[in-house]
Amino acid sequence: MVVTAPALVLPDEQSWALWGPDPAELGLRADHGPPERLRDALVPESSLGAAADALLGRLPDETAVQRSAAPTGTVSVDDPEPDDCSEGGDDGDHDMMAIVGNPSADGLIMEDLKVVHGPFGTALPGGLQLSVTLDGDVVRNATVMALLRVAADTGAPTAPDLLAPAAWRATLNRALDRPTDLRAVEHERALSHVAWLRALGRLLNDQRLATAAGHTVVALRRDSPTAQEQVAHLGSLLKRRTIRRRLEGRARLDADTVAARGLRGPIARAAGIPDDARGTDPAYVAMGFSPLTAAGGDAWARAGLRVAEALAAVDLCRRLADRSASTCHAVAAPAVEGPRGPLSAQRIGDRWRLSAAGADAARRAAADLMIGCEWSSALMAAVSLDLSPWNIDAHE
Amino acid sequence: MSDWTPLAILSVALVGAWGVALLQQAIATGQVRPWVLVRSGVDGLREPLSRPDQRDAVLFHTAPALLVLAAVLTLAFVPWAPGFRGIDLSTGAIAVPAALAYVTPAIFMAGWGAGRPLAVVAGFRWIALMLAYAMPIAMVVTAVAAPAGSLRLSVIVDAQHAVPTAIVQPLALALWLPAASAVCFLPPFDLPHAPSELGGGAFGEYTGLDAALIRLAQRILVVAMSAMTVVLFGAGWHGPVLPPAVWMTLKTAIVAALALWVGGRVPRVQIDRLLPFAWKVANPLALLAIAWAGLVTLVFYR
Repeated sequence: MVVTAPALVLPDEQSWALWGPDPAELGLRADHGPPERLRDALVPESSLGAAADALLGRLPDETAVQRSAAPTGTVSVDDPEPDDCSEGGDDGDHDMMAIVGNPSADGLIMEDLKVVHGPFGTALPGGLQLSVTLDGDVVRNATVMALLRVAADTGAPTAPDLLAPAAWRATLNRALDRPTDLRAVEHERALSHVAWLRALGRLLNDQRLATAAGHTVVALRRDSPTAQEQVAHLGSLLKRRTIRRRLEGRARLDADTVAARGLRGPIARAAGIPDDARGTDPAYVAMGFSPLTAAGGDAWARAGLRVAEALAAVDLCRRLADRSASTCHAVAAPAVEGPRGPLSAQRIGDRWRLSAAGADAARRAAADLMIGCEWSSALMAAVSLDLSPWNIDAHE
Repeated sequence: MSDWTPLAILSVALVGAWGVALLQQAIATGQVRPWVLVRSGVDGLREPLSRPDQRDAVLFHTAPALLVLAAVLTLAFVPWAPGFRGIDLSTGAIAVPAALAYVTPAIFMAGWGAGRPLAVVAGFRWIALMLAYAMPIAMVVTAVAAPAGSLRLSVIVDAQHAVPTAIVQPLALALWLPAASAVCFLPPFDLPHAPSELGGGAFGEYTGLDAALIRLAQRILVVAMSAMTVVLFGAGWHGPVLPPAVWMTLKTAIVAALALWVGGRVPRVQIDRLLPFAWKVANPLALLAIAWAGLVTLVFYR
């Protein structure tokens, strides 16, 4: 099924931030209604449909997006078969008089509830779908599916992940020995991390965080001189006790687990591993860059790290803008550090081999972390990993 | 209770709900634009009723009406002024939690009738929450009634003519306020619909008149619980200079605004942390509040 990109990038915070216009500028906000209603909202007559039309001109024409039937990141504890759920909704197959089965951890016999969450209208990026079996409100099985991939195209390469277009452009340019725009990459990183914070704010129903992050997205998009202050303010909002209690100790991935699972990018750095392609990039080394890390590896550490990285990215943007164009457009590093981890591209004849290291491992880790959690905590665990809905490794 | 009392209660419910809607708009946007509310309300009513693949259409469409009924019934016991005491029962303080009890089946019916697992989860969440908070609510009401020596709400108000209960029994107030907010399913206790978690939860499938009734019921509940807070803790209609009804309205508006404002600034509570807190902390504290009320009554009110 081939669908246009705007419909898929519309309803989530990060796509709004990168592709704009920002919902706050339009007086819109990403809806979190049931998937069916969101699909209805995307008809051209509706306000969201109009916004989709407005976005259409901004997206690369050659990028066709299609849904992949193959799930990734599947983890199942005691049911090896994937859940047979209807697309985009939940099957509603429950009967109070037929509650049979094995007791839960609390000794109660509960009927399984099968839920499909996404691919629209969730706190996760559009295109990610969670298929979950609930035992009461505790997750028993979880499958995280990245439904998006760019159609195989042997022509001119395009950004295969619309949530990191600048980083992919830089990656492809490096593979072609062309200059790369590092400022755009850092700008995208700041936007991506702040947009993720807004999604987190909406998930936790923290209006202060969501609103402040929304304003910061607007400031970043406009290159406002107050953007750095606003990002720093987000850091102070994140330190509130109410937020800290929600995130601290949750969805923990320690350094050993991170290494064993092959997790990369901010997830690894939040566990104390200085895994950052920029650390060996001559252009960044020349600016005295050193990777930021955090301790703990839990959701709280990942949130704090992203704020710190967004701040550093804004600072790098400023410094790169001050430098001459030749320095800014540095080359000669094998990978580009995108917002979610290292990206690499290799040209083999007429074809391309693309890799977003750790993206699939992150989805698997998310599914694993969700199991045994109460539903809201499970969602928070998945959101805290900042998953990509794009299948990059499958693209060749 | 006169023949006009039911009509007066309905009028208070509708006007109060309108006031809460304006407060919500003011707190969310910093502006008060009544015509926007009217327009969105009319647009909402024009939507056809939702007919999802629910298993229990009767439950699904009955739930909003039951929710409104429970909200209006709760409001009916509120004494607004010496001359307008609503349904002035001798057991009014206990009748309020009894009326609120109908909110629980209404929300569960909405979740169950929708036929979506996350809506059912929302219904179960609500039942767990209300079971956990029913005891603190009832015990707090008992504690507040002790100094007055009566469960009649107008007597409880008169007993506070010198010192409001909020000052004498701060622990009871601290237990009551979150419970009152939870009953209205306001943030941070918006667990039955939790938009970003449950895709609308128990109310996610409602459209048109059903959705309007849900919103109306929630706003009437906000009015009722804010007014009950004033009656139980804020000395009701007592106050200098202004007429009693004006004092009661002002205090109610302040409590409602406070509840709505706090809801916008505090992240949603987690059910798996809230329930242990309710059973292990709030219930024992409510018992302590009763003991404190007994002590205060013995020392100051005899």
